[in-house]
Amino acid sequence: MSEKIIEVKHLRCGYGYVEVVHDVSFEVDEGQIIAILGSNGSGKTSTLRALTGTIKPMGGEILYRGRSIAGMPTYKLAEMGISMVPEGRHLFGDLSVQDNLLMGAYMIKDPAKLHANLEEVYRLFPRVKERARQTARTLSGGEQQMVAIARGMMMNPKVLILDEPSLGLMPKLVQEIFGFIKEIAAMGITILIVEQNATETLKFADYAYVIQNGETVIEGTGPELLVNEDVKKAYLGG
Amino acid sequence: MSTFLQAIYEGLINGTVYAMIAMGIALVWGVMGILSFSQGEFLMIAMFIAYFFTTATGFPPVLALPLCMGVLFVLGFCIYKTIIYKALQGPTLSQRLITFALSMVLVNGMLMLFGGTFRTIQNTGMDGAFSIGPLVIAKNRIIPLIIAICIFCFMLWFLNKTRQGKAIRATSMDKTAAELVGINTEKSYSLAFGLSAAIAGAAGCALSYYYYCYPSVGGNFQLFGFIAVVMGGFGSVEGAIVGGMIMGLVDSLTGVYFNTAFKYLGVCVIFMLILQFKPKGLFGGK
Repeated sequence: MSEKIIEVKHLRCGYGYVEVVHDVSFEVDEGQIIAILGSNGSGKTSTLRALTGTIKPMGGEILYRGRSIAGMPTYKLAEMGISMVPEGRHLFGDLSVQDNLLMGAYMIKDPAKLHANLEEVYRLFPRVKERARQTARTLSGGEQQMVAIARGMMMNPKVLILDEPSLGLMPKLVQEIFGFIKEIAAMGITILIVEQNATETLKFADYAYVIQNGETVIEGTGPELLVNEDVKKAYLGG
Repeated sequence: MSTFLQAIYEGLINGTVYAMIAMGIALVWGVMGILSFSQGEFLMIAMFIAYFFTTATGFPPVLALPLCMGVLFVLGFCIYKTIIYKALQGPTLSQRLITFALSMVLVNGMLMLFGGTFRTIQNTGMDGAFSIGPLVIAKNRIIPLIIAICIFCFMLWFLNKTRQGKAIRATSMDKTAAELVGINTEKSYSLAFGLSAAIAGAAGCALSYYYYCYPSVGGNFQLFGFIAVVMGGFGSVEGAIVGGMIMGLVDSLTGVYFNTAFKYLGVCVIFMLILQFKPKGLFGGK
C-alpha cells in the first residue's frame, strides 16, 4: 500500500451559516487516480474549495502528507505541490498560450528548469504547442481545457486536482482529455478528479467516492462502482 | 503657431501629473476593483512633505523624492492593510465609497493641522526660463518632467519585466488563476495599493516645483486623473498614461484658446465624445 498523500476526514464546510458539506471523507494514495463523483449540488465543488483553501472548513480535518492544511491559502498549497485545474479553466484570457504556461511556472525561478518543463508539457500536449502564440481566449473549449491542464503541470506538481475537466466538451474531446489525464498519472503524478461524468471516469479511476447531499455515501474501486446498483441508478442512467 | 506649440508643451507637462494620478487609479482598480478617490490626497501629502523638506533643509524638492515616495508607499500599504482590506469583505457600495471617505479625512485633517494657506516653494534652484526655437521653457518644469518620465519607465518595466510585477498583472487578470499558480494575491493587493500611493507621491514631489501646496489641491488632479483612466480603458496602466497626456493637452488648449474657466467643459466634452465612439476607452476595445 502506498503512502496517503491527502486525507479528508469528516469534512464540514459551506458558505456563511449555510452548511453544504456535512460529512465527507476520502483518501488519496500517492500515484493513484482518485475520483470524486456526484451530481450537481452534491457538495463536491464545495469539498474541493475547502481542500484548495478557497473556503474555510467548519469542521473535520484536511491533511496533506499527514499535516493539516485546512484554511491554508491557495498559493501556499501550490508551493507545497498541490496544483489545481479549476472548473471554468480560469486562463489568463488576454495572454498568449505560452505566456499562460509560463505564468503556471511562476514559482520556478531557475530558467533551465522552466525551459525543461515547457518542453515536457509541449511533448505531452502537441496541440498546445501548435497554439503557443495564440491568445488564450480565442481557443476552443477543448483546447482551453488542455491549456489549463498544461498550465497546472508547469509547476511540477505532486498532486493534480481537476475540477470537472469534461464539462461542456463533446464526447470525442472528453476521451482525449481523459487520455491526457491517464498519461499524466503514468508519469507518477497523483490525480484527484472531480466529475459528473461517472461512467467514463470510473473506467480509469483507481478508486472513487460518491458524494450525495454533502456526504460520502459509496466508495470503491472503479470496476466495483461501475457495477454497483446504487451508483448505476443514480449516475449511470439505470 | 508658437502659441500653439507652447500650449502643447505646457499641456504635456501638466499631462504627466494627470498621468501619474491616473496610473495609480488604474492599478488599484485593475487589481482589486477599488475606485481610488484618494490619489489626489496622496499627491497633496507628498507636496507638503516636499515643501517642509525644502524649507527646512534648503535642498531642492527633487531630493525629497525618495522620502515622498517612501512615506506614501508605507501610508498606502497601511491604508490597504486596515480600511481597504476590511472594505473588500463588505458590500460593493462601501468598497466604492471608502476611499472617498478617506480623501475627506485626509483633506480636512491636513486643513486642521496646517490651515488653508497656499504655500509655494521659493528656492527650487530652478528659476528663470530659456528658449528652444519658438518654445519658452521654464526651468522649474524640467525636473518634474524628468521625474515623470522616470516613473513611467519604472512602472512599465516593473509591471512587465519583474516577477512581482507579473504577479500583480496576473492578479488583475484573474485572481483565482493567479492563486492557483502560486501567487500570493494578498501581497499583490497591498503592493499595488502602496505603489499607487507612491506614484501619487512622486507626482506631488514633481508638482511642488511649480504649484501651490494647500490641503485641497488634490481635487482637480483627482478628477482629471479619473477621466484619464476612463479614456485609457479602465485598468490599463499604459492607457492611463496616454489618457493623462490627453487630459493635459485638452486642459492647456482650452485654457489658451478659450478660457481657463472652461477647461472642465473641454475635458468633459472630450470625455463624453470618446465614450460615444469608443465606449470601452481608447485602449479598452477588444
